[in-house]
Amino acid sequence: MSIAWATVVIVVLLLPGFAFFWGLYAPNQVTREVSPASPLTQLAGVVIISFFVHAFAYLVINRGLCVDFLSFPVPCVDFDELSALVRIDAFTLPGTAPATFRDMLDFYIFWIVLYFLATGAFTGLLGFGAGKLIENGHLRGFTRHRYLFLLEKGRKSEESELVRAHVLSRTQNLNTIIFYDGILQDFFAKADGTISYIVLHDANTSVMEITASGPAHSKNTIPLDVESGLRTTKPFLVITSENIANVYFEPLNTVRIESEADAEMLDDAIDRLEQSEGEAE
Amino acid sequence: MRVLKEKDRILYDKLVRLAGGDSGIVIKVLSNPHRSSVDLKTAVREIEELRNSRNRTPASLAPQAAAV
Repeated sequence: MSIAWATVVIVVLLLPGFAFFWGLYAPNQVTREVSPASPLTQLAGVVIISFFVHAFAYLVINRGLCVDFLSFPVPCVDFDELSALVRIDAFTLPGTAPATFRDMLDFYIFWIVLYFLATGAFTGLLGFGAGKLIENGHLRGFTRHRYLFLLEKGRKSEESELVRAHVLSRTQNLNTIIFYDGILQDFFAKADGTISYIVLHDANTSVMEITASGPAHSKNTIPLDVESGLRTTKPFLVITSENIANVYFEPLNTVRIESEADAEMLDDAIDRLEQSEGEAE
Repeated sequence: MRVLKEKDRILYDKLVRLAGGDSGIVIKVLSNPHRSSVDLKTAVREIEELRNSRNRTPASLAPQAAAV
């Protein structure tokens, strides 16, 4: 029981560290997906951050806040009581004095909750700030797989940034290899940064032949989406890592929509084209 | 990890429709190595020009379109 109680207390004490990593992963999906590559390192980070946050809070409270000149009395942190709290025996041992810790907890519960809320919010915001810095490329040392952030950049941009993916598959017949290309829709990386699977929109397939003079790419590509028409869910191609030899990512020109009139002009042009095609038929 | 925004997918599909269903035209316009961005008006004009020039090309000279 005492071990379980001590574990609960320690987990609660580590809350600021957990809050930091929650904040760190919150701004983007890339770190959330690839950072747990080293859970032990992350746990060490939780312990270290929690230690320094509590030390800092102890310094601020006991040296600055729990003084008499404030209009409301902030209680000081009593380290002796805190360390004794880790031992549940202090509550339950037969023959010991009445449960002083229960009285202490009843009396200071507001301040204890406020302390953990404040330190959790502080470290959570600190982690969020660090996550934003990593996302924007300022903390390059913490960026393990930079190309993932480059791919994610388009999704966060207000403008239309498309990425075309050229996928060399592992499907081959003699010297001929299947090749796919399309607009990158989804991407998932494993913890070590390698590709888990990619999803292509408007995918095409072609072949590449390896000849004595080098690889020769076929001139014709075959669209996989032949007749999707106006279906709400467009077809997409999923290629898993087992079938991916390598991928060439090609960011396309960013399309700037400078006014609503531009978008309307595009709709009008499509209507004109489809009307003229209808009349021709 | 989502890379393609829904609004970008809709825009791309519209551009392909404008190109008469030929995504190769859209890719060609958006793959111009001499620029990093293009405004929609220019993209529409270039797509229409390419589409019209391909329509004028005799079928015998056009690449064989394959279908599955």
